[in-house]
Amino acid sequence: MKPAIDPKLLNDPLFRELMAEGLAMQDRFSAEPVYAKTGRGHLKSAGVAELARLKAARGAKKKKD
Amino acid sequence: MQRVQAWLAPFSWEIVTAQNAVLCQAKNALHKPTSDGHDATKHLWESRHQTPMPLDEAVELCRRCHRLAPFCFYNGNTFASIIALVIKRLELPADQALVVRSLAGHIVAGVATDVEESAFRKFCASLDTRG
Repeated sequence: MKPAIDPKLLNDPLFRELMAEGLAMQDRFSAEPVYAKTGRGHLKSAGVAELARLKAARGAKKKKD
Repeated sequence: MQRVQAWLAPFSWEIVTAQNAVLCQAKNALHKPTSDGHDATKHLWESRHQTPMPLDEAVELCRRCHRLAPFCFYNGNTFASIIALVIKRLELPADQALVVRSLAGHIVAGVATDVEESAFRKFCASLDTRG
């Protein structure tokens, strides 16, 4: 099924930003309504790579200062 | 920064529905309202989303809407992405933003521990004292 999305929405900066957020995290979520069925949700770990990158960047900045 | 704001006001039910449609389309999943959850969730969202509320209450509203499952598929990231965008707009330092976003995401996804919920509430309480 290919739903019709209002073209105005597709040009709305807020909606475009929201789409990007949702698509970026898509693979961490289950498609099925697991939370509704079981009372316990499902979310794959995002890992620690992003945090490690931020820590490294902060460490490099401190060293530079 | 005020803890109580109309955090979810920009996100009409039309936007919520379109977001789910996009996410379903990306995975070739059926975008369809559920017979038992859609109307109740729509009513809850429309009655609350424009109301000023503490940030933790906004997260709780997203969690409840996720659990009510208004759509057949991808309810979790439909509501988690809304709260992620709200947190992005707080413009926190990058490492703090990552942690706060993760805590809120876990709550909305329905996987947060008591410790995570408590840490998020503590962060929300601190908003009134921030510049």
